[in-house]
Amino acid sequence: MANEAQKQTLLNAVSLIRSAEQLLLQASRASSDPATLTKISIEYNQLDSFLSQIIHAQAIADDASFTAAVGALKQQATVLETEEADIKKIVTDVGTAAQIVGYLAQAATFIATL
Amino acid sequence: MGSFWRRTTYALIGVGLAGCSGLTQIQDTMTKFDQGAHSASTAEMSFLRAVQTADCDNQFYVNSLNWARGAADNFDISGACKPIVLTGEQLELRQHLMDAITLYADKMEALATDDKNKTLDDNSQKLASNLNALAKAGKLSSSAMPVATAVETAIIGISNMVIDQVRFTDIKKAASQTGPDLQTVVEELKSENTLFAQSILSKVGDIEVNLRSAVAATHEQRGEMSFFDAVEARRIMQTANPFSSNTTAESNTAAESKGTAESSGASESKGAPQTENSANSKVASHSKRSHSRSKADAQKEAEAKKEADAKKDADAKTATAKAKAAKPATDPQNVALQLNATLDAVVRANNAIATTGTGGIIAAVNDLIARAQAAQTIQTALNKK
Repeated sequence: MANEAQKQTLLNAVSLIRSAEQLLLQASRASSDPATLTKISIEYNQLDSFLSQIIHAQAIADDASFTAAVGALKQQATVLETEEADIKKIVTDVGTAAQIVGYLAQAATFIATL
Repeated sequence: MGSFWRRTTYALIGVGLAGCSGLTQIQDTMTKFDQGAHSASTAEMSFLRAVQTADCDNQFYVNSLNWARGAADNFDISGACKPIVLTGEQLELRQHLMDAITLYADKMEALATDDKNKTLDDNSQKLASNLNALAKAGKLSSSAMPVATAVETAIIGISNMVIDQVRFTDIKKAASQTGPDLQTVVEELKSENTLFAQSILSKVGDIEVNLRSAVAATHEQRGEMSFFDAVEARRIMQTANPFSSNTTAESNTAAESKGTAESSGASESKGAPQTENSANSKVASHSKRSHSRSKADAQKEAEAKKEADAKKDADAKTATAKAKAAKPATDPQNVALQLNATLDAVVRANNAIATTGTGGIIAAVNDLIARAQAAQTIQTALNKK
């Protein structure tokens, strides 16, 4: 199971991903363009899916299962970095895009330290 | 009757009456302790089921939209769902944890009665025995989702106490010996409530972005008819958040970013209400004027001060809890904080039973009741969905 330091790391990652999601939600509300909204929803889906995996991992009590879950999270974290490039194209507001990218980069860094 | 004997008789009657009213007070307080624990349990399980509902709703909307976009081969309207965030096994485990807490509170209430037989009713005894057997066999949860050893040990400790007919006869000793096990179980529950709240918010947001995408995609084709699509999308959003009445995800977002730190609770209090029992403060001030104090007096003063401080702290927390209970529970994050605070109040009340006098116990249990009322508000809001 996760030790206290790992639990805090996972909590930090959750908090950062939520912050990125909230900005994506705001970007969605600011647009009525179908193509943009579709792309935002795809990005948000992926973040939500990743969030669920982190929360699920945090609750795992068995060491072996937790180690396996952390491995999967680390692999997913590399996908987060790929999404950063997509987000810059989707979110038209440069400042908002930069913030989202920043949150995801930090989350990926936290996951990598597990 | 001589004046000495008259005074002695009156004193003995007074002590007797005081003793009787004190015993009734403790019984009443332990009944409230039990009620508070049960309220906490009901609200916690409702919250966890709401986590599963949000997960399943999200899966349905996302899968349906993927199918509509051609990204999925099929769609499912059966209502069948396999929760991901909180599985059925994990939910069952948490039910076991809450059962341990409520059975313990039931037993403490029984111990406080005048009955010679402190046994719980047949159903409760059976539940406690089953829980004990499951924990000892390492079967609180499946091998796919094993339980932490410390939690298993704590469940065994609590259920042993509930089943026991000999060792535990005094509520103070019972509270003291079972306290650490209770703390372990509560910490296990608390650590996840905040994360589950985040999960609910994430999924509600996911539903919204998907709905917006779907409505916008058909707008060009449907023209003014897409007005009805927007109306329907709003209706779906109103049901997507299990805690919302008319709040939208935006107000939830605002509440989340504002934060509802439990630590700020004490600063919100306008000060502890005046206590009815000022005997402890009188003892403390009298002792300060004395120049030659025996060791026993010093110890008495320290204990009295400790009890007064505990009561003051609990009263402040109660005032805060009452203030929060007046607000409807619509934000999952706030709900999680309130649930955690209620669970903490169960532990604090138990610690008070173990270590303080009647005044401290009453204050701590009143705090639990106030927080349990907030938990009941959550329960009511969820039942309306």
